Amino acid sequence: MSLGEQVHTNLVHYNLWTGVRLHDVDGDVTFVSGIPPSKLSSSDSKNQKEWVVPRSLIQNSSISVSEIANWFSAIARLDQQRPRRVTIGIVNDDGTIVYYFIHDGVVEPRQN
Amino acid sequence: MSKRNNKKLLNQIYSRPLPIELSSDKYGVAMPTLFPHNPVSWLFYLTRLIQVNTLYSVPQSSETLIDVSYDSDGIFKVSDEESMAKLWRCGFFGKGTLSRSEPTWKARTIKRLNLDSNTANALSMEEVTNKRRDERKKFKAERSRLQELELKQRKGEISDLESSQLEQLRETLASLRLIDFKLSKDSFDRETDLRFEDLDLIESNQLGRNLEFLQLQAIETFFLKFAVNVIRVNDFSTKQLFLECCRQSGILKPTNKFVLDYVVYHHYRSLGWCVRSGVKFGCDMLLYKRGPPFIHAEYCILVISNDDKARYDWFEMAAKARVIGTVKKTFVLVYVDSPTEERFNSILSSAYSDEGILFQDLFKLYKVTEILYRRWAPSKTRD
Amino acid sequence: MNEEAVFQYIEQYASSEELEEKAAQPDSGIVDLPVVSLAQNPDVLIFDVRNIRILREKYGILGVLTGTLAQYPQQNFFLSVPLKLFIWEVIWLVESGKARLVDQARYRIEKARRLAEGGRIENDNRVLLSKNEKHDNSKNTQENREPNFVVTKNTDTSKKCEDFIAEYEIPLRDYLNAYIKSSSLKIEDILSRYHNFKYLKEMGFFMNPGLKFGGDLVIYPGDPLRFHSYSIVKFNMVDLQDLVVGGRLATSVKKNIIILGDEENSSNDLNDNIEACLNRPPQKVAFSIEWAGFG
Repeated sequence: MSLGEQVHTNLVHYNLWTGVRLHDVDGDVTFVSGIPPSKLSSSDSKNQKEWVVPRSLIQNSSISVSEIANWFSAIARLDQQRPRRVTIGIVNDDGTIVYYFIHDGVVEPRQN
Repeated sequence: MSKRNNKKLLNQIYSRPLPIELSSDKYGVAMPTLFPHNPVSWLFYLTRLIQVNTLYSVPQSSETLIDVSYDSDGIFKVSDEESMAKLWRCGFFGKGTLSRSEPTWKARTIKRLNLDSNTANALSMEEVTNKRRDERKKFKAERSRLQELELKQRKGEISDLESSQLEQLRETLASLRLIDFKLSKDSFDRETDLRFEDLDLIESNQLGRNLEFLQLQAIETFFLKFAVNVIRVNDFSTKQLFLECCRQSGILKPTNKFVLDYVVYHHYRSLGWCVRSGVKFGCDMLLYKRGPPFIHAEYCILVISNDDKARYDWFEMAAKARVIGTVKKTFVLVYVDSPTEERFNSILSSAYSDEGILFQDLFKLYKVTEILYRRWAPSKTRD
Repeated sequence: MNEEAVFQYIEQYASSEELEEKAAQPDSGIVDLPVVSLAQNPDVLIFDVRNIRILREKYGILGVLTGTLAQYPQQNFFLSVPLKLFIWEVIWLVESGKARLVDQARYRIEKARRLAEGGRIENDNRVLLSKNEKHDNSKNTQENREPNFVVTKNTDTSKKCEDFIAEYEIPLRDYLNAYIKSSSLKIEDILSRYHNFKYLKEMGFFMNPGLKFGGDLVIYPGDPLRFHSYSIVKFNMVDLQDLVVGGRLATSVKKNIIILGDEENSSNDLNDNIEACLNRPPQKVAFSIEWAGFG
């Protein structure tokens, strides 16, 4: 099972997302898009399509600014619009997947 | 359920710390109590010992080896439900891929999709809807009758018979309301939350297949194969499995991350600790006294090699210690002394009739030293 | 006057000189940044509380206090002057014309020399005393008369100091050259950190070093004494392991991680000289990372 498939299964059957699709871009990055069961942030106006980038915690553990910038522009080409945020799905060595939002620009921390 | 009962239940479910069977469990024979000052008890103990060792054969788990599959994705999978449950319950091995830890996806999904045949709700979607509509109709009829009687009562035209009917109606309506609420909630969930994705899962009103498998870490897999011998990974020999695990974490050398981790894993498993991945706290392993359901992990283990290139720098150490400090766990640095490349290779390449002995000899060359790390703030610890 | 005598003089007047310097500070808003020693220790250390206040309140520069509180010498939780400035804070202050660097070692020696000379020649009290003595005890020998002199310090040196402090101003370029000799950082690291600092400074943030939280900087929307909500800033790279580990903590204490770096192909050519690098900031990109709250 590839990293993308692991995240796909996790989103569909653990987090209960719908319409989850895998997008292969230039053969090196895989994006996963889908709609969560309810909006993910209280500041969102409505439940919307989310973009997830699968990454392995062990294989290459650091990400650079330019890499993230490339994700944003690649998704912009796929979706005809630059997303407000991208979610990174980090696959741990024991199979756990944790998700982090990456917002475009300097955004103040969410008030819990 | 009371706390005590809960604990009793947990002790029952998780009674075996490893997925192996002991003679005492299998044949129901227990060794007698030994009183050092009483020679008779010695004699009794000795005869019993001989008896147990000669009369009963050692229980072999080989006939029921658990199948672990492994392919190009590098994941060790256990898919059989019984095996999954066994590995989780006896020593907390692995992790359900669609659960937080224990593989519970199937049970959760059956509940979520209302597919349990043992409950009254095990009706088809249409049936549920129809039933609900019937209930609703009945409820409405009773309600209009009630309103009619209430009107009579207000006008003062109510008879004795009718007023007792009124009381009865009030009660039935109250109970109907409860049923109605419960039913409609269940069927509502099922109708609106059923996704296209879920339709694939349902086969003739039952959960078609279990999508979840138990994922084992490399060190867990090797421990189950080499140390307790209860699994079969494809058709790998112990040595093939070892080489495959090493390959996953770099080149084959005495300080290979897998080898070092395994040495430490085996060390703590032998001492009776439940060892699980510590990745969410930035360390290599977590030590539980018994296991996750009982009590939180107390110790965070960081494996440190004597290979200078692989050492952590001061900033990394401080960062890890800070995180571990905030979750109130103790940070343990485990230094592993590894043998030279020649000794390592000579053992690995020499011919052994029993690969178990080979790895016994190999791991004997490693030495483990533990150091407790604690941040000390002089200004805060003074009086 | 030999050098040894000058140093003795400095020691003698060290405490009162601080007070004097306050009077000497011009009110133009340009803060003097004393460099301990250009050759041996090019750190900027500020003892003047008034200047520390200007830096904090007017320019939002925090630095870090490094001195011990004399009353509570056995703790290091609360610290006192001197305030040490980070190199990027220094560059930003000088580049934006809010401060100038002063070669404190040389300036002090010169100042002491001038004071010493001034004290000997122009001290009116001393002249007056000696006149009186001449009238009354004209027979007294030279040795007897000496102890009667009262040497008071000439306090009116402010104008003089201001006049010549400019002679000891260090151009930023010289300072950076001296700084990199004593630092483990390379010039391109320093400049890249400066540009990162400047980018966030221009967005109005107050900044502290981020080591305590595992980052490069910690930013606050205002003075950190008044704001608790903040972000941890990492330059160029984020380690996923740190994210997994840091994220657990960050979400519980209302902070996120900001990753900040140069837009591709816009980083400085290393062959450029320092001024060119300073003046031509690379295009910055930033992203904010926080726990998604599911999964």
